[in-house]
Amino acid sequence: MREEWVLRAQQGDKKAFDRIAREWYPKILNYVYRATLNMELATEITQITMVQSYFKLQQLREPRYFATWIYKIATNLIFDHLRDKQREPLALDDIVEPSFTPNWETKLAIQQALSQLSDKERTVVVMKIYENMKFREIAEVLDEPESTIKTRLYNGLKKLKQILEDWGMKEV
Amino acid sequence: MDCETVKEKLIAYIFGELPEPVQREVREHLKTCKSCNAECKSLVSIVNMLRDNWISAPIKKVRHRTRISVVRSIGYAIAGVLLILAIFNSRFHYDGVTRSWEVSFSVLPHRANEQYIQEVLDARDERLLTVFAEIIGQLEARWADNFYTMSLYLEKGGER
Repeated sequence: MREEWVLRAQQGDKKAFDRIAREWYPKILNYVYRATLNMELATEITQITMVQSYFKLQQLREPRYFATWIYKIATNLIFDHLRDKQREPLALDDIVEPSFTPNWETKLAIQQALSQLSDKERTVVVMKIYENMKFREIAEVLDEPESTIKTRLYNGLKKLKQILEDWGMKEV
Repeated sequence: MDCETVKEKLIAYIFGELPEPVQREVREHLKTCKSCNAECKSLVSIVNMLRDNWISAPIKKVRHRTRISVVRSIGYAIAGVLLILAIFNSRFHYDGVTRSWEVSFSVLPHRANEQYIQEVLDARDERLLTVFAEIIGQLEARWADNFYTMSLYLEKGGER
């Protein structure tokens, strides 16, 4: 995303923020969904993220760090919500429709395996694997040392592998 | 570099996030150490499996209405009207001498060609006269025939 849009939005250009929101809403929604595995919660958190990013945009000093900044807002909200709400088992609506997607059994297994990780492990796995963020960026978002993030990812991946192997997946 | 150090760096290595000299050192170690190599392959396989099976939010795709600016929509309307006028005012003419079709488009109505109209009217009049003459001829013939039949009837004293 171009920094100029962030700059213009900071100067009060409503259209510039609309453009940013259109670009970022689906990205954040996907990220939150992968981290929470709950579509209803993901929609709610994404909407709050967009609202907060609009009202707090003036606080962002460097427009080039917009991505890290918005992920940070979303991640804090994810942890707040997961702390407040005892996470419920996956609702039917939240599961990827198996009959209409290729490799549905693998996707379903991965989704279930991800749900068995701790919230922090899952968030790191999602940020690294799906959002393709650098360790430095994840560390910035989570306010933790890079070494902690690497250890958490390592542990998360090993757990996922173990769970999937226990379920009989041989290709892991 | 020993196995313990390599295993610590392995997670950063598989994502290519080590400084190049360290990346190279780990790569060299993996070539000779079976245990570390197996660990590396194991991590890569789970990462690849996760990447190959993206989980996405089940978002229903909504078709957004395309916004057309007022100026553009007026432009489309004008273009449409001109196109309709051009089609309705087009003239197709087959030239029998050159054996070719002539098509002319004009947005404005073709100006009436008086000579052309006169020729058409004359030709129509001639055709009408011919038709009338033919009808009259047929009627005369029928009347003549009728008169002949009637005169024969009268001559025979009313007998057929």
